[in-house]
Amino acid sequence: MNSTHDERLSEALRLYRDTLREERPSPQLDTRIEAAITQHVSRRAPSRRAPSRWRVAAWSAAASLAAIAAGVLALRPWSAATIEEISSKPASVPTAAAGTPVVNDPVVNAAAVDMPWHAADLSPWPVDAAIVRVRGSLATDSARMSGNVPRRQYWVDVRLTSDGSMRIVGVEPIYEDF
Amino acid sequence: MQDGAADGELVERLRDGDPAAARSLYERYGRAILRFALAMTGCRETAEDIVHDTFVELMRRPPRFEPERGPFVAYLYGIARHRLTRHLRGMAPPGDAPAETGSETLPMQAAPVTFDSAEDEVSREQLIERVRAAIFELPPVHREVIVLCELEELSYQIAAEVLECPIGTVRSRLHRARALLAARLSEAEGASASVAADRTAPRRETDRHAPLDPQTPMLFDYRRTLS
Repeated sequence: MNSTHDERLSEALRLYRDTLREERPSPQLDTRIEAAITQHVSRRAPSRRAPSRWRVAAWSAAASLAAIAAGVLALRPWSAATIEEISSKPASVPTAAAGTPVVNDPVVNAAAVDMPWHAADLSPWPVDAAIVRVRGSLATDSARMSGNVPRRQYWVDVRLTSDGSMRIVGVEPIYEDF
Repeated sequence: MQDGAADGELVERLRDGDPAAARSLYERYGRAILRFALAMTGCRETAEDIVHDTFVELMRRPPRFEPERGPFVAYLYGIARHRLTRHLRGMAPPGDAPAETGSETLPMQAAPVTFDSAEDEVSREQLIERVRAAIFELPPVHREVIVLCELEELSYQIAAEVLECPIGTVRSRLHRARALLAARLSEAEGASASVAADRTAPRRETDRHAPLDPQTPMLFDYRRTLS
């Protein structure tokens, strides 16, 4: 490229550059940009933001989760203590292997003797379940109706889970009554 | 309203959702991006779409601009360039098909000629038209370096950041682009001169009264010159 062509090109580029400098965005483009600012930027400003529908839903969901978590936490010391209490007593549970069948009732024996471990230890729902220990006695309906309640009483551990199911996880005689 | 804040400050405010910062950035750089897109595409409608998309991209997500990687203007040109690349990829090569049929589509011809009597003197407008057409005929990789360095007068450093290549590559591409451009301009002017010489020759009577078919592709739209 010789110098004449170079000068000619530079002159042409300068003229074109000056022409381009006069270009302005059209009013339509300004309007579109303003709409985009309203849509994308103003919405992001936290102080001017109106609560949108999804935000209300998100807060509701978060509040629900928090309530459930609080409930579980409130139940946890009690249920944990109960589980701990059960877990700490397997030695006192009469077993066939120990050869001390304190409980003579065959139903209770079936529950207590054939349970080398506590069902609560294997539960797949360790936190959203609670074990309630109730005191009970074994009697027929007629005996109960006549008021002839046997003196022999047991601790019955009942596991209540959040899905609504309930099962007995342990039965243990109350020794002090004997 | 011009905001005197630095680019970095405006970007920070944009991150915080300040609409005024977005407006300031648009007022500051909207025209530059428009010029860039206009020179690259040759179509005002498309160029305005590119500007719109560039600023929407900037606003939609908090800007990922990192000041240590370069000035904000390079970041913004970079967004526009990616948009343009996507657009140009879908376009036919300049020599194969006419430009878009927008209301303000720029002419694609490399060598516009006039029907006027002043054949030897190329007017200012004609020269601009030629260089614009010649730039538009360059391959995109050379076109963008000419537009950024010669028309937008960006430094080689900023152009390298926009083009995501070393400065040496910018220099070599620019050298090559100028050579191509000079050759095309020279060809165009030569063609113009020869056509002008032909115009001085006596015309046949049938040519003078031949009806003009508006669909016939012409080397130069004389209506544009007359308007």
